[in-house]
Formats: sequence, structure tokens, C-alpha cells
Amino acid sequence: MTLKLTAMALVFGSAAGIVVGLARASRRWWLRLPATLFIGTFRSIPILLQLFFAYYALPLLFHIDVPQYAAATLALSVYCGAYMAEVVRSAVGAVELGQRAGAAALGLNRLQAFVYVVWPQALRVGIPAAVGVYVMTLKDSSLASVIGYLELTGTGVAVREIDPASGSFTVLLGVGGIYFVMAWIISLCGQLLERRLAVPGFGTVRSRRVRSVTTVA
Amino acid sequence: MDRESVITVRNLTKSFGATSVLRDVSLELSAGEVLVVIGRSGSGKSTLLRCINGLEPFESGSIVVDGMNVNAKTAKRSALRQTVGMIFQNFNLFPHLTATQNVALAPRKLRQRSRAEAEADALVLLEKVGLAHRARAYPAQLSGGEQQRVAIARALAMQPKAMLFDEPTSSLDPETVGSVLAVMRQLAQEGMSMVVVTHEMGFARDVADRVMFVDEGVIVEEGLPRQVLRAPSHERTRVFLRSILSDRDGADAQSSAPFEAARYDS
Repeated sequence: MTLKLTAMALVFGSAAGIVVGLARASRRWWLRLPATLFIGTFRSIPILLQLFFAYYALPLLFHIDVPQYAAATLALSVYCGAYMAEVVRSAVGAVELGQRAGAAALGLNRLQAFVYVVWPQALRVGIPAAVGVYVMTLKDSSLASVIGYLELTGTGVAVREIDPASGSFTVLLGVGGIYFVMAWIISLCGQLLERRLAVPGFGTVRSRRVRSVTTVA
Repeated sequence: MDRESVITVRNLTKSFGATSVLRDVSLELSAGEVLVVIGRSGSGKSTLLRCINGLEPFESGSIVVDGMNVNAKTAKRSALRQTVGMIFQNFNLFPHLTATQNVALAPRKLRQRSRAEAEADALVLLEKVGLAHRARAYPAQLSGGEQQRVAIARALAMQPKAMLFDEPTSSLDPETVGSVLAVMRQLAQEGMSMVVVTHEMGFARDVADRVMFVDEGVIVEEGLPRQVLRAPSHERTRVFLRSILSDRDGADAQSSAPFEAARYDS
């Protein structure tokens, strides 16, 4: 359950994050403004409240039925999306201005320049931060239990109820362990991706400027 | 000498906010001509180049490149930029691509060349600038001079009618400056129309057809290299040259009677 919830939230969140992040970085104010509001709102409000809002307030507002998993997925996706948007925006912003000039000077239009020059670089820069957001989303998915969605933590708590005295430690340790493994897998995927995309000399740790000065044929 | 004009700039005026950077600048570049622009930092030379290929918008005046008006719409702008190549002071190579891929990218996306074709062409160009043996290297693995030569090959891949060089050797170690200038010299000899902003006076003296001194957004002086560099008619030019030339050339700049620099009609 946690897997499904988290996976969906990560997928929707990443997609939303890319769209909103790019909008936030756009030169067009009518894209930038809504994006900024979106990011500001959903990064400032605790996920717990967002979950409550999705589950309790939305049905009241729109007279629709909102099942638990839908509310949880929606809230978590939006939450993840807001953070991903900032990751995308700053990664894109980290690409040197000169890159766009270089691409433009060749005649590439803005879309081509973005797809072939800016995005590949932003992607490499943004992976570590994205992994951070993914792990955060995974952990915060545990809060879905407060609206009754039986994901990992909720199940663990319920199991614990059976025998609070002896069961507690084992269950909580087990639950914690499972989260740990999942987070570790996400982090590992990030590292593998980084390694596969790595280009000699284009690192996030070393400054590129220093490189070009000291590098000799 | 009635060669066609490749770049025509008329009454170009450009400001960055309140700061006026270019004031009523006009110039003309004929086919096969090499124009070297000299001047202090901040005199507007780079901005001039960036206006020519549409990287920088401008307030008034007109720029026509190979018959295309620079103020035209976006689709035309791409055609414009394919006609005039630009070389930057900090190279602006794409760090995530190899030298070959850097050179091949634009032809693949803009001329619909297949990957094999584009990379084969790229190899020929890299050979031309003396870097075929580094075709598979990434920019970070290349020295500054090598990166700039790849940048030149990359610009040449689009078969431009003219090329703009914005202080191409200013970021380079003295040892590698020569390698880049050699490539530029070769291009000039092959008939490429070039506007070169540089501090390399030797290059200006030996390769330029015309030298132009820009100061505070205005063309102060323009003429044949031996006139502008050895016997400038304006005091500002003299002062500038004195500040950057060696003692030997400085002596030349100060000597002899004022010489009327031939003025080209712009």
C-alpha cells in the first residue's frame, strides 16, 4: 500500500514538479505567477493539513466522494510536486547562461536548446536533490495513516494494537526497517543514474570553472 | 571594389536600462572581409556583436545580415543565426557532449542530417582545426585552446556566411592563443567574412582588412590596420593603443604626422 501510494505520488509529483518548475522559471509572468503560488502554498503547509484538507474538506467543498487512497495520493502528489518544482527550477537555473547563448548562436530554437542542451545538464545537477525529495515523500506517506489509509505505518500501528506490550518494539522496528530499505533503494537508484549519466569533468562537486583553468591537454 | 555587403549595421543604438552602450553605430562588412574591432572593456564591442546575431535586442537602428533583417520574427531568427556563426570568449561548449557531438548537434537538428552523416562531417571539421584525435573527448578534458577550436568547428558546421568572434582568445593561456589565432587566420585566408573583437594586435595587424576602434559606444576611428594601429588620427585611439601595445609599437603609435584615416561610407 505504501509502495503504491508513494509510487503514484512520486510519478505525479515528478510530472507536476517538472511542469510547475519550468513554469516558475519561465519568462512569461502568467506562467510564473501561478507556479510561484503553487510552490509557496504547498511547501508551506504541513503535509498533515494537506491530507486532512484533501480527505475532509474537498468533499464538503465540491460535494464529491473522496476515498482515502485518492485523497492521500492527491495530497502527497501535490506536496511532492511543489518540492520537485523547486528542484527543477534550481537545476535549470544552475545551467550557465552561456549555454543558452551558445545554443542560440547556432540557430537552435528555444525548445531545441532546452531539450538538447539545458535539460541534460539540469538533469545531472538535479538528481541528488530529487532523491532527497523522493525520500521525503516516502517518509511523509506514513502520515496518510491519519486519514485512515492503511499504508505501512498504519498497518504497523494496527498490528501493534494486538499486543501492545511485547509486540511494540518488534513491529515498530520492522516497519522502520522497511522504510529504511525503500529509502535506500531510492537513493541507490539515484546513484546509479548519476553514474550512468556521468560525463568526465561535469561534476556537481567540482566547480567547472576551476576545471577549465587547470586542465591542460 | 564593389563586393556584396554581408553585414550592414545602421545607426544602431542600444542601452542597458539607463546606461547607453552603443550610440548610433554604423558599419559594413563586405564578403571575405576581416574587420577587427578593438577597444576597452565595456566600450560596447561585445554588445555590438550580440546585436548582430540577434542575441541582444536593440532600441533603434537596423541590422541586415545576408539580406535578412535582424528584427524579424523568431523563425527567421534561427535562419539568421545559422548564417552568422559566433565564437564566445568562454567557448560555451556543451559539457555533456563529446567534441564530435558538439559539432554535430546543430546540423542534426536544423539540417536534418542523420547522426552518421553529421558525425562524419564533424570529424572533417575537427580535422580542419587540428583536433580529429580528440573527437571523442568531452570539453572538460580539453584545454582552453582546444575547446575554442572545437567551438570554431561547431560554428563552421552550419556553413555560415560570416563569423563573429567575441574576444576568442581572452580566456586562454598565452601558449594556446597561437593555436586558435592560427585557425582564425586560416579561415580568413579561405575567404570567411569575419568580425573579430580582440586585444591581439598582432592578429589585427597581420590579418585584418580593416580595424575599428570603439570607445564608449561610439566608433572613434576606422581604417586600414597600418593606419589605425600605427598612425591613428584620434587622440583617444592613441591613448588606448599606448595602454596595450608593447614599447616598440607604442613608439610607432606616437610618431609621425597625423594621418587622415580613410573613412568608409557606412
